[in-house]
Amino acid sequence: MAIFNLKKREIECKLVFYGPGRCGKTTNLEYIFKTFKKQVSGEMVSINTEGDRTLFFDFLPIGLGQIKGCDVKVQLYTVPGQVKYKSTRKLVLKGADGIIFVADSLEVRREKNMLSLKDLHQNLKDYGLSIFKIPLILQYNKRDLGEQGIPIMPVEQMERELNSQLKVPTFTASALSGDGVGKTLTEGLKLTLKHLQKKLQWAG
Amino acid sequence: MDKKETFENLLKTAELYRTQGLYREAREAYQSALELINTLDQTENRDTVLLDLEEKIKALGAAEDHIESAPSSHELPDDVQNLIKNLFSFSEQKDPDTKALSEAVTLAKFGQLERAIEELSGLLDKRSVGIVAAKNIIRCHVLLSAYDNALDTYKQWESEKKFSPKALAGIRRLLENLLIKKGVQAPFPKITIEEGKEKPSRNTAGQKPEEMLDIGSVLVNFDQGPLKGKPVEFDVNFQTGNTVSLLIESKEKKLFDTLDVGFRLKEVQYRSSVAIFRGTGVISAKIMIHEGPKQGNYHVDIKVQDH
Repeated sequence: MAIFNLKKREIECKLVFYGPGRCGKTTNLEYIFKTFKKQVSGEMVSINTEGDRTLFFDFLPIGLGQIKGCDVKVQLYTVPGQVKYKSTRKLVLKGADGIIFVADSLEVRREKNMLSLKDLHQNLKDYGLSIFKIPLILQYNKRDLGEQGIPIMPVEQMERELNSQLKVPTFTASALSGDGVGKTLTEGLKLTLKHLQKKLQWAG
Repeated sequence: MDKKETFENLLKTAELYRTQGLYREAREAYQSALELINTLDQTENRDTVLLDLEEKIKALGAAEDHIESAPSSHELPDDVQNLIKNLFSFSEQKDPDTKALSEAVTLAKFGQLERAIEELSGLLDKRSVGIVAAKNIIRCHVLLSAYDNALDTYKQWESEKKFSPKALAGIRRLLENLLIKKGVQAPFPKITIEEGKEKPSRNTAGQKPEEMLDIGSVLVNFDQGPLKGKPVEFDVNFQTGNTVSLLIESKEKKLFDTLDVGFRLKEVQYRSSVAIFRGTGVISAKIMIHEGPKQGNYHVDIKVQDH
């Protein structure tokens, strides 16, 4: 639900990091906050609970400057991944213009990824949106753990299980070191803004 | 890989899962290691290792329980509450009281019940939103399990004649129903206001509850028309009893045209701040708005059925 202020030539949109609990959504945002200082336009807000789990959401406002004659502001959010926070997750998703789905590469989290993607599909459907139409990026996170001998899924398997129907852009990442975070965000923003440009018929 | 190597790998994996906060997975890996150690012929310090593994498994189980039993919400600092209000109140209403109501309800949705009560209390004297604010105050008290507060608040409004007898009866029914759902038996005072004239009927077994929840939005699954097969969510603008009014934007004229008076919506989810229920609905009125800020848009009334 982007806000387009014609008078001020300002556009504000919402990009949501979605995914199962402990997949690295907050770590993505923390890396962005640390690294893209120039673009960050406010403090990062995190509301955590026991065991460092996201309770409600993380929030980080960034500014992209002028694009096609418009000042573009983006609000980045993460949802709480734990299953029990379903209603909060849905509230945070409301009005999203684009989504970055962070999947956990650990083999033991295979089912959690699929359940979370299904949950996203249902929540979007409840808002009258289609997972096939909304700008969406998949990030296969925690790739670095493979090097430590921990069983992770091959990218091909994750593609097959999560992206065979969606056919959206995918990126491998290790959010802790920041590897792949910037690329994922850039593509997520590109896709979202392109979609909004079409929808709002916004041109310079 | 021999058994010893597998054992060492399991320990390494378990430790990594633990550092990732994946306590269940870590516990399972330690459990596998524990089972494996019993099959090994000779292990140095076998008893110490066994004890250590058992303790780790126990600690992980406790950590899991701790997370599972963590409260799903707690009162946050003022600045974060303000942020929640700003970020998640999607009301397009220009009227400041309606906007304030929407913000207070947003706080309640995020579990910020005490602040929500405070803000809702400031709206009680506002003509357009006072009753809805009062009902939401009652809901917040009940969600906080502060049943006595809910009852005392209601009694105070009753003694102060804060609202009309009809409105008070509605609030009372809401409170009674909420307490019944929670299995709480509360000592309700006899209804003293205009008794006999407006005696609210009780929600007795076999009868449909007369109290209608305040519905915030409606999700309609259309089985015909331009939105066939697409679930569409509408925000409820107003509610009178079991009739909700929706605003449909001018660009949705095709949809508006299909919603004739008497048209039956077969699959509807009615959403309130406390519950979602499925039902059907019948279009009871439709009008085009000819003046004001919503000029050109449409109003459609749905009569809630089968709730």
